Amino acid sequence: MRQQPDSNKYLDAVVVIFVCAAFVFISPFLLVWSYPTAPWYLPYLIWALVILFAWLVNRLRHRHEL
Amino acid sequence: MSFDLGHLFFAAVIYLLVLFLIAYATEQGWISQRIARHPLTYALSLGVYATTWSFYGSVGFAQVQGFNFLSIYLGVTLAFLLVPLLLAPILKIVRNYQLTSLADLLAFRYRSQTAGVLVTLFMLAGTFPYIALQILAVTESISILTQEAPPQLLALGFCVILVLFAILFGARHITPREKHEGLVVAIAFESVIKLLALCAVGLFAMFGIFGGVGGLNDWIDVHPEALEALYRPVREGPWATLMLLSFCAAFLLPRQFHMTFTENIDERTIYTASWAFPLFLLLMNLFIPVILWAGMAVGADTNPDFYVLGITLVGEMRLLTLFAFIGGVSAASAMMIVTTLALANMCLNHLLLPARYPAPGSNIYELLLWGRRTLICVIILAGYGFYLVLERNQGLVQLGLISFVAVAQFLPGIIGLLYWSRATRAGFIAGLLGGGMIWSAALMFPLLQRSEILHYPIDLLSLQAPPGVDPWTFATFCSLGINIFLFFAVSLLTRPSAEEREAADACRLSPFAIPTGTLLTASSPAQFKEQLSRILGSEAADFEVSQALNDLDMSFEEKDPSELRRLRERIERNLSGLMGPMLARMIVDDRLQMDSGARSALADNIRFIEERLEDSQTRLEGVAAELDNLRRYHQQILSDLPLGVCALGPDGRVVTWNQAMTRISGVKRRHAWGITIDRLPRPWSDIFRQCLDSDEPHLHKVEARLDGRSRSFNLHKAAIEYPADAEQSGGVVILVEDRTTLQSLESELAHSERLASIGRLASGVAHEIGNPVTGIACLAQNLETETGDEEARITSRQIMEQTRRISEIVQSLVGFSHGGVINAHTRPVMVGACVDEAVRLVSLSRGGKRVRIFNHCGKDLCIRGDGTQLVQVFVNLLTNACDASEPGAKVDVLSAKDGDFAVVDIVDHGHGIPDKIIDQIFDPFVTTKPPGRGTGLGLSVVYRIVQDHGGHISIENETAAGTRVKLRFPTIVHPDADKRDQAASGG
Repeated sequence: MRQQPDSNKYLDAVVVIFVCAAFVFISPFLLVWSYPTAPWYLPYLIWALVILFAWLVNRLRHRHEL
Repeated sequence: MSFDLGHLFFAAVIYLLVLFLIAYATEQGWISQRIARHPLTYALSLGVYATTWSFYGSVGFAQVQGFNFLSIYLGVTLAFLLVPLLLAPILKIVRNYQLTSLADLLAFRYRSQTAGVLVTLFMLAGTFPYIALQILAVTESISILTQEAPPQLLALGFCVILVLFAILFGARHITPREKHEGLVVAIAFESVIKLLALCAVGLFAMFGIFGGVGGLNDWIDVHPEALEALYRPVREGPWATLMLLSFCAAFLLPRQFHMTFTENIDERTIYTASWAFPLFLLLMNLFIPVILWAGMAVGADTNPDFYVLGITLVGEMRLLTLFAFIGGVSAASAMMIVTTLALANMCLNHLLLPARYPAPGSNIYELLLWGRRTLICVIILAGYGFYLVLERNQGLVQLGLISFVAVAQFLPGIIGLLYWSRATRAGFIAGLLGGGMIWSAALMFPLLQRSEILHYPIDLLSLQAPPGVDPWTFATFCSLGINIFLFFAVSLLTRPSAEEREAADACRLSPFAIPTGTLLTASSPAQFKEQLSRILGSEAADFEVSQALNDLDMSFEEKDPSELRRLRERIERNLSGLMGPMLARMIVDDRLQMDSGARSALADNIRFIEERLEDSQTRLEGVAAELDNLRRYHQQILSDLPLGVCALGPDGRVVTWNQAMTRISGVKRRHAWGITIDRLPRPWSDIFRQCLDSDEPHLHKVEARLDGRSRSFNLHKAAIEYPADAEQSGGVVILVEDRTTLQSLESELAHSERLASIGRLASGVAHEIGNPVTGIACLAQNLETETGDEEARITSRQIMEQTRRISEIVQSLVGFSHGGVINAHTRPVMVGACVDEAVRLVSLSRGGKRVRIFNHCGKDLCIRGDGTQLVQVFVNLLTNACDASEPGAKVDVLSAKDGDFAVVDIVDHGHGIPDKIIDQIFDPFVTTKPPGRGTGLGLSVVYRIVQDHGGHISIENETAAGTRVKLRFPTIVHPDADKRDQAASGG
């Protein structure tokens, strides 16, 4: 029998990244990083981290494709 | 510092020309396809999201709303994180069904022209403020740089130039279905220019005004309220609302939909965009706070929306200011061109064509192209008109957000498209109307009122946010809330039609949406052309049918109903790309009618499902994947069975035809599949018909002639129970067993048994007769020697002659019964020498003297055996040949090597062997000679001897006259062959 390509890990990773990003940016958690004396570049750093994880997840997709 | 108006206008035109050249160069192939199709080029082309709102307005937005300005881009980031779950499925649907806009997509899903019209009108209403925003930004930027109010004609001139470029970019070709690689590359280039310009201004702010990172930090330390002003609105303002709006806008804005889906060339590039596009947006916005603070620090005398220009003017950076201006023009022009192309598609497919379809005789492609060009012109000029009447002090951001709230109304429809097949067109339309009304009341009417476009009683129609509630949050959640409520409630109260269910399955990419129905009005591609030409015109019909045949790699002579159904589906998709899904559907439903109630053949459904399962195998998971694996395993078992399997469905068509069946019958699976047995080639149609008509479940030894040979089969049939319904017949399965080889072996065995029994009989008879014959011979000999009577002596001699004859017959019988047992001391024997000996012996007989015998045997053929018996073989065969030949005729003995075998042919030109006995010629006592002239055992003896030597003998009549006896023996290399070779070569 043929083996199915494992796309589940990729989709799981996508959902996890999305939920984490939504948690950071939308939930009350944003009160944690949006304090008045935070460095002005902090939101950009968090944003860059999210983009980095998105890039890593995209690499996971490539590994599982033929 | 100020600039000349003419110079700025000239710079803008030159820039747009450069853009056009880039697009043209791409389409001509001067720019490599690797660049045009690169995933990063695609990701950059999505940068059309960043309009003058981003380029200029973000700074003003940051000044008022702090970091809330980032939410406009973070929402996009969240949307693109969901590429595999949200955007990729939409892309697949758009590509599969050749949909060119959001209106096409929603009209396709909800099978409603009304839905398409509403979406188009709503999109137009929501986009005019956005177009006006771009014109406003460009004219304001010119006003700032020239330090004078720009003439009204300037904005008009800018719009006219954009009309020209929009037509050149996206409406130049006759076939509007083509993707515009040039447009993608041009927009990507614009994104790069915007990014570089904004980053250049940001770096100037950082290093030119603050003197570096340290200077910036020092300024912040001195002005902590600046940092607080950035963060406070995040905690108190409409952060979540803006995130939601930008999430929707990321793929629902007309320009975003167009670049993300319609102009997508390679599906895989969207996955790269999941991180590359957010990265672009991050870089675009990285310096916004710095530019804001720089503007505050230097006291730039522009509106904060235009600090990008203000700080460069203060810094007297002429080139940088010009670059920033070009960046603004870039942002505005990209947005207007792409948005206009997208809206033109929608208006053409959902407003213009449904209202006035071209007459059949006209060239539809030309009309569509000119229709699109006209719409481009109308839309841009309408945007200009909106700009003229708009209140001037509207912030750039306000106009943009109005559009965002408008496109957010399509989100429930998209959710229904992807995830909720129960959604109905009534629910979608109700939700859209409800949300649209709230949007109009909360945002659009107040805007028109402030611009004094509309007066009393507009107050009654406006919806104001309660005190303390952010107006954007209020407008968004009221409109979207009503929309979602009506969407779900009305969908649940109404039932989806069959069309809607089919569309829902198609959008969910369900592999099990089996097409049903049979074609009524056309049963060949030629008839397709004839039917379609009545609406499209003959030229367009010819092109569309040919294009579809080419896409499916189908022949023009195709007649198979299931293939024609695929062709119909393909034509509909291609027409959808040309004129929208609803019109395409109407045309195809009208001209290529289907009887949807007719049940399609089980064979077609099975093939359809199997093809879809093959396509979707990578997407099946869990139980579905396991079931599919099990299905394949069972299919493989059937396929590999050594018996031929032919299963017929309830409609009598072939649904299973395994590999063994192909081997037995010579009919390939794809030729047998889906046809009735009467259409199978003969004799299979007759064989299966005989099996089906018989009451017996098993038919044995069914004879048929195939490829000139007689074949024999056993057939076994059984009824199939339909799994879903026990009372319904599931068809018949027939197993075919090829027993030809078995039958041949049985004949051989029977023949050998017959020979063996005759041999035993002969042995017994010979033994019994021998003694009395010997006695008679002795008595006759005594009589001859003892009597003086001459007559008695003659009689006794005749008696002895006859007893000798009996003895010969007895010896033949004994020889036959002993089976020509090879002498225990077999040795290498030269065939040529045996033939020579036989020729010499035969030549001594009366028959042999009359005929000329020629031995052409090779001298090097050697076999292992009994030389004496081999000589006997040749003697018997040559004797028969001589007996059959006329006096003076010739008999040839030929030999050849066939691999490891020696072949010896004895050919005579006599009277041949009658056909009726040639098959039994090796049986004992079968002879063509008159009684008394032969025992009929000669060939039987020869047969036995040849078999015992591991050989084979066959006899056939020659075409002209005579007989050929073919002997075949396994050869060996003579042990002395090396010595003979050496002697011959003298070595």
